[in-house]
Amino acid sequence: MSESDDTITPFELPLEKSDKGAETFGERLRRRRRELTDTGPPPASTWQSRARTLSAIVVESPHASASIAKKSGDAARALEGVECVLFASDLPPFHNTLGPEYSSEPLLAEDEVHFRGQPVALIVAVDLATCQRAASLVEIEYHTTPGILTLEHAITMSSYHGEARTSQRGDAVKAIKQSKKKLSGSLAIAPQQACLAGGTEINVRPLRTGDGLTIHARCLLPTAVRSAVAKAADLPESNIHIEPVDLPGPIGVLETEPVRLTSLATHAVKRCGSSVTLHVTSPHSPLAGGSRHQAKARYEVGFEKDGTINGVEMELILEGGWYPADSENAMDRALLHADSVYGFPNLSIRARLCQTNHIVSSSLPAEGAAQGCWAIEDVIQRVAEATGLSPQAIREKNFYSEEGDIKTTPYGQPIDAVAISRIWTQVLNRSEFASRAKAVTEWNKRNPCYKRGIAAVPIKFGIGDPRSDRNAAAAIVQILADGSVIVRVGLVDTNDGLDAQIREEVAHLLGVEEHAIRVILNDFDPLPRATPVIGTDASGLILRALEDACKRLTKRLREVALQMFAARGQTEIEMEAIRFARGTVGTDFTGNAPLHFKEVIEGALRKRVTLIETGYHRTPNLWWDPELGAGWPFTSFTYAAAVAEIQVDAFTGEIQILRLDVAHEGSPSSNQGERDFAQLMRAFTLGAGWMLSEATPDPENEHPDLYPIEEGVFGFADAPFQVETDRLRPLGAPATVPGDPCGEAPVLLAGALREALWDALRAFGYSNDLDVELPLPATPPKVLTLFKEISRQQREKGSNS
Amino acid sequence: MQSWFKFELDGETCRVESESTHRTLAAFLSELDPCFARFATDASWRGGHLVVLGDIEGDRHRFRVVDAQLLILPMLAGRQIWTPEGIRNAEPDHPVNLALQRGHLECGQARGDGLVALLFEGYYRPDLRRQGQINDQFDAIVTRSANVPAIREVAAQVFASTEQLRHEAALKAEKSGEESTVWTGRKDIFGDRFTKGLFQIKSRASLSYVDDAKRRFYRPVNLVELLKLKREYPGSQLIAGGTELTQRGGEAEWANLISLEGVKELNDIITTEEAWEIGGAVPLTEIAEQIGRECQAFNKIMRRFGSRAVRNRATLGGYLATAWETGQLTPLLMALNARVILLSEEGERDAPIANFYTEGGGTILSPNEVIRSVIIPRYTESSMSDRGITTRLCDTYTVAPRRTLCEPYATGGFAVELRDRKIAKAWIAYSGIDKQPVRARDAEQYLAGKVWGEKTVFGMLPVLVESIQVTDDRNEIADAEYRKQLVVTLFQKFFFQHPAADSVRPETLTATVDFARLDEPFFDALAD
Repeated sequence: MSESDDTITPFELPLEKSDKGAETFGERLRRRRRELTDTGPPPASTWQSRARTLSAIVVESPHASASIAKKSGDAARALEGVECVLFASDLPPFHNTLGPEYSSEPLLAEDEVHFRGQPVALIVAVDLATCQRAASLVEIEYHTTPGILTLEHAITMSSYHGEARTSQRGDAVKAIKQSKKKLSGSLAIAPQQACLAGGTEINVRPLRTGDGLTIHARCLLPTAVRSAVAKAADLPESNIHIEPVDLPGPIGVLETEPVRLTSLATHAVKRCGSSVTLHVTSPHSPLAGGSRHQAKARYEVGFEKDGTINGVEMELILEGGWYPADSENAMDRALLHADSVYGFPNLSIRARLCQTNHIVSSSLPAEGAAQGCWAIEDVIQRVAEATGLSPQAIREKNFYSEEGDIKTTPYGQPIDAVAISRIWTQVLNRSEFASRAKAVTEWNKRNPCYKRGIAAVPIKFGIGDPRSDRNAAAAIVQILADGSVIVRVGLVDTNDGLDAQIREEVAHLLGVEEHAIRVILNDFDPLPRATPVIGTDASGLILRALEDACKRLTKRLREVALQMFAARGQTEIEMEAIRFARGTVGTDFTGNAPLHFKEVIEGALRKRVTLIETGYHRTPNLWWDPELGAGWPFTSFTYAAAVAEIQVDAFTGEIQILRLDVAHEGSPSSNQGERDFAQLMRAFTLGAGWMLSEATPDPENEHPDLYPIEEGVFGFADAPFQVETDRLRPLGAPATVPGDPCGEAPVLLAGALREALWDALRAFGYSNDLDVELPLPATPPKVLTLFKEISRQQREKGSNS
Repeated sequence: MQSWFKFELDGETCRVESESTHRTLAAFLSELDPCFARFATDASWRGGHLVVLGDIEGDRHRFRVVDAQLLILPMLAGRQIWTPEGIRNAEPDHPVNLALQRGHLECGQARGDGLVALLFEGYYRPDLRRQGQINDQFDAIVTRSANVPAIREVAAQVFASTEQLRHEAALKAEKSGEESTVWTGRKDIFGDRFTKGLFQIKSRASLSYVDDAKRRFYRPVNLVELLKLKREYPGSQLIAGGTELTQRGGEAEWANLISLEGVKELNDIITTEEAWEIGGAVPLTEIAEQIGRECQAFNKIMRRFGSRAVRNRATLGGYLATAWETGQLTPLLMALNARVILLSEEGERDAPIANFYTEGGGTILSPNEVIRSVIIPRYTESSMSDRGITTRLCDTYTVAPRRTLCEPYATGGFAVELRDRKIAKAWIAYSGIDKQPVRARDAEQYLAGKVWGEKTVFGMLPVLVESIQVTDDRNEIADAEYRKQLVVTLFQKFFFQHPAADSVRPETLTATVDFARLDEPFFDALAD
């Protein structure tokens, strides 16, 4: 949009001249605006300018922490083909920010950079090669400062974001003090890299009419991108169109990163009046990638000889990066999942967010939840070691139980103890755990060089987002003249089979054939806001919104049908008795010939009854008060348990998953078993990679680009040889049953792999009195080092005794 | 010299004119039609843009899955390409398409396309018969978002249907005595539009193509022509499968290309009583098909090399010429005591593999030479008994962050020849340890004449550690300390798995066989 088209009088500050030498804020603002306009107004958006596509790249900071002494783009601007080089000072006043809903970080760094990869300048040129040449000509002088790169460093420096959050039950300190046995320990959880797609491309182009923009970007929450672009371009959101893109899954794309990049690209479009494709070419650029929150758990536990845990005091420290975009949410989730399925009478969890010179991201499946859950499983493991009992026995002893007094989580949301015991027995029976554990022990005795390990781990996963405003969804259902149905849901399509589930549900609700239903995902224009697919129970919300819409439609159609029945002389039919099934509309009584669904629709059209309806659903009664440490943050809990059997090669440290048994709660749609299974495998693989193979570069590494992160992702042959699953019907009230319980929860089940690895290590000679730590992820080099350490300590122990 | 050539794209003739000789198929497709736009993105991190290449190898017609990013256009002259889109459109009722529609795979478009290509190749593969081979067929898939158990299930169904077809065809052919042509895939048993087209491909003809920038692409058909061209164009670059060169993208360096794919002498495997002579331009898949049954270790290492799409194109000669420092094949070739035959206009010379590599990461290959062939001894019983050898134990191990498609930490190849229980000669070789693949000669000498047993092996380990230099300049993931340990532990593993001549099969030592039905056939003709 050109300045000259702008008919609204621009905001002007009063013309007051201050006598003092220092420039006031208002003066600075006016001067800045004048400077911007003095260079001439940006070129008007003509059809010629709109017809071309320019390329843009971001000049990223090579340092994690530095102050910028000098920025100059003159040499780059002089290069032929370069359209513009933008620094922070070149962006319109008040626009150099990512917006308060994220982190309020500057889009382009002003005087300091706080993480490696932070955008410092934006270069727009005719093609990518010219951009890259120009980037090499941009002069930026950094004065590096020692940054906080590791979690330990941040803890030592007390570099935290905000205050600690706590959630507690009973008096853990007292309980630990009074316990017969106590121990303390810690667990470090490495981050996992989110994206591997090898850079990204974002295209922003002006609409043909010149008063709007079209965005093409891989993003998880397109409406957030829409809002950000509207803000950057000073356009109403209604003029921004988001194009659908094909996403391979909920991983590989993020929420905040595309928002940052599209905002930058929009500024480039505004400046040049042309379409702009913003390239992030480096596959390891944090602008395209992003990683999970690194975490450290420190705990103290008091327990009895029989394995009853009296009290646990735990501190969970998460890395929040420099600008905590949505890290607080990850911290909350870690806090809310740290009790897992265990009803310890005294539990105190304290969570903190560290400020480091990094960038982190949280729109990943089960972010935060996994860190919390795995930390408490580590406690169980240590207690099992100390008591000499099996970890399974310790778990059973400490479950939330039906008989016990504790019926809620520390923050007050009710727990379903029946569901926990049901899932646990199911998985143990299904996997024939006892006999297989015996077989593993036998096998390990015979084989000196390969060891097997087996373990069962139950989990509880909160479905829904503690940020309650995210738990709402809308859907539009329209019936066409021939009785076919179009369903529009403003969800991003992650190719997870959600459309099939929606089709099944709508077919059931309207009583029409599934093939007559078309589900439109990835269409963001008809609805005000898209539901985030990560973190919320998106499919459950959508299904309920559809139920809402279909109920109202069927109510109207019932009236039509009643009149049609009456016209046929069937006056005895009551409206409530009319059912929709298998493409017909009729009553349960035999003898009444039903109407075809199509006939009723034709009747409705004749009677001018509207056949479009919007459904809406928001989860009732959600709240979470982080300061109180209390609330009802989740729609519901889903429970699952896994038994994993692995084999470790003592020569190389390589691990193979032999068999996986899972008992989980299924989705409410009866025909979606295969979808649930696919979702489960997807999430489990993600967790397993995090647990076993996806090593990330050392945070102090100066050339992380050389680190082949993608090589740690599981290959086809790394998948478990055998997978057995039991899909159980959820126990809760129908209104709280999640639509897709397998979307994220199985990430946590990868905890079973770690437990199985502990089991295998015991066969190698690990015992409680050795001081070794099992790293996470347990990559082959780390596991081999661990073996060496175990045998070294054993030798020492042997020589001492 | 011609400025055009033709190949078949999705069943229709595609005439290529004045395209650069260096243009990849992926780049070409992405601009050909909007439906191929996805080919423009770089997909190497997740196994590449897979398409199917219809080709003739010797006298066998084959569909091979290949990565469109690793093929340059002139290579395709006279061959066929089926894109996943083409396969879907040409025959929506093809067993592969039906299976993928039925299966609940929940994968994105890109992954789905890759699966079509891989399943399609598998459907027509005559040697794909056992469950254990599924992993090899699909190893181009990186699984963060793939549902592996479901893919395995779909694949097993599709491959079982082929096996059934093949069995029925074999029964029919028994009468005419042509049964073997069915099992080796020399006969078209499918008779669908894909195979009908495939069996029309003639052997590779000579090609000389020139693009607008006057860069040439030659495909000579015999060695004489090849050497002549090499003399005429001294700056030219030899290209065989092209999997390495296309990744380098250093276009300016090699103006003219000479393809080895048409050279008859380089594309043959000659089997004699004592050895296999493998032509320099034979793709790795074909080698594994021909010698894998007898030389199990070769098959084993092939499963960990690149991905199916890479192995289908990569050649043994190309592999050696690039002198890949972490290459997984070299240690085994050293342990097998293979020899390389180099050819130039002046004549032939040969060298053992160990001497082929020079220190610092180069090879002895001089600019006017080509790798004619690699000779791998067969170690038949008669050849060994002539030398008084009772047993030859040989195996290879590789360790990598994941099982396929990545840079390995280290690879070891070992062999010992036993005269009764005493070691007559030993081969200990590694790659990924130093800048070039290395042999631990001191350790080998230490072993000679000693009894193959625990005491000898443990006595040898300090010598081994001493004699091997571990470089520290590889990336952080390949920790030098870890690779140093692997030098020792891989050899220990070899001893553990082969303690004596008549020992058990190594697989049975691991738990794998209890869980993976590796040897189970897809289709059992004897079952009801």
